[in-house]
Amino acid sequence: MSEAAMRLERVGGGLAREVKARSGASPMSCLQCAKCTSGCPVAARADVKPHELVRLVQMDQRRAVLESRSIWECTSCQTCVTRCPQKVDIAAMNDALRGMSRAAGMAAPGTAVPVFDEVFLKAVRERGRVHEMGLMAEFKLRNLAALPSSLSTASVRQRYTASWRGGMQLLADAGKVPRMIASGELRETSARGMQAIKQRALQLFADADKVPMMIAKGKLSLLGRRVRGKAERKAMFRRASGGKS
Amino acid sequence: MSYVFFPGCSLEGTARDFHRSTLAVAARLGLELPEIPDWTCCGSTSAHGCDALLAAALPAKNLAAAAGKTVAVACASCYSRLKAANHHIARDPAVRARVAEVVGGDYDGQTPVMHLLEILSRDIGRARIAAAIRRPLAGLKVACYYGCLLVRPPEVTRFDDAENPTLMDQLMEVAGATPVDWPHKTECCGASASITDPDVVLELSDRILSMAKAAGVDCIVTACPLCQLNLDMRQKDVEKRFGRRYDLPVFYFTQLLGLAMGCTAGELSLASLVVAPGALLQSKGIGRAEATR
Repeated sequence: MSEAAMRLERVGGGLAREVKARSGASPMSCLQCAKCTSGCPVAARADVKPHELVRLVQMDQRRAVLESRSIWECTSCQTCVTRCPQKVDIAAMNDALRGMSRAAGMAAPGTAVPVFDEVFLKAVRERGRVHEMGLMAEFKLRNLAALPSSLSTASVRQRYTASWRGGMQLLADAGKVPRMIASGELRETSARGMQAIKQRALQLFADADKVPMMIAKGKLSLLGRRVRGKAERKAMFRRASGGKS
Repeated sequence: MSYVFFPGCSLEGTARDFHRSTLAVAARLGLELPEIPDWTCCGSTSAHGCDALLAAALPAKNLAAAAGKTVAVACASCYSRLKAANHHIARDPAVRARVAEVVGGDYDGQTPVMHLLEILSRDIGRARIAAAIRRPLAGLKVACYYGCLLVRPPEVTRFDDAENPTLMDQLMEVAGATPVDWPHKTECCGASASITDPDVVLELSDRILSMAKAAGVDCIVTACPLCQLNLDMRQKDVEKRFGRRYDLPVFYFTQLLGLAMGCTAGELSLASLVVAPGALLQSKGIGRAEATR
């Protein structure tokens, strides 16, 4: 890094420094040319566009950044960093911001990424490899179960928080969720809560129609492979998180 | 040169056809691909989205197990993660030291990682592949779709031109097909949102499918399990959402290469494709149409 770039890093506020420390990305080098936004596949739907996000990081706008939806909508396609004249690694910056947003409890409502990541990494830790069908089933269960406990969905949650083995039963039972909503089992909820439930219920059904076809096409194996060395993997995950998991 | 193969989780599930066709083509070329013993998941998007250290450690564990041989990779996402881990570990002694602590052994970041496209183009070479062609794919117009993770960022993958890669186009030419010049070779299909936000995928995949259709191709060729799944399995959903009709089969490059080498539809798992390619192949007089329908 050049002398000038290093001086720039020191000028930046705490947020820019934290991003730099966590990801190596240098938001302070950004010139606001907006080339990143021009090439970003999801910029059109973003609440904060990539070059705006970098600017907010420079200006130390912690809340606006960590609560934004766009840090979760980034597809990690890395078009931004590839074309950036200053090589600001926005994709890596977003990874760091996701971690910070999650830790601060500021993740945008409606994003399913934190639950997906958790389920995915748990599969890697437990089994060594990801079994796609199990992953899908567990993600859907957990995503439904991740509803705030203030919503009276205890019955739904209890029944569906089991392991991925509940997946087959889930497919059989999925049809009951709208009926439960309609029949008032989930009545004691606010409008926002109902919206969240509807969203998650829809997610529950998304792609369920594809399962029989995928099995027929040989795209889904019913049982995934497990790799030995589970204890060693668990120890590895523990060391990576500094003993926290 | 000898290789060890890192198939990755998708090749044991939704991309089993990629796995099968890879092994079929490798067999025709005398290329041996023994798997890394007890390989584990590369961590994919979830690891790098959560924990930079874990995102380097999971690949490092596998790369260390390759015992110095070149690691052959089929999945573009695995490729990207293995290359990124090598990049960070080899360049930064602090990262190397922390990864060593997590994995429980030092790894220097030097195990070579190559995608199958690179191995076929650079190590095997056009001449040897041309010699294995039995039934050229004459008259088949293809759009080679590379996606994100093979080409970006170029400092890390060093795969090919990041804006206009041609490795797959060249292989398709050797196989007798006609690759077209089109602008969406490296656009994103939204793979990482495939499960969490399929809406994004429909929109992005629609752009790619419509551009391929506009380029006048018969089919799309991919080198990534996630790209293939989105463009193929979700094609009906895309058509429904945007009121269009594409009907574009989406092959793995190994399937088309295998067809040109005379492999059967069964060896290449063509029946696993959701948009059935039978009618197209029959109309072009390629393969045994009755087996691919």
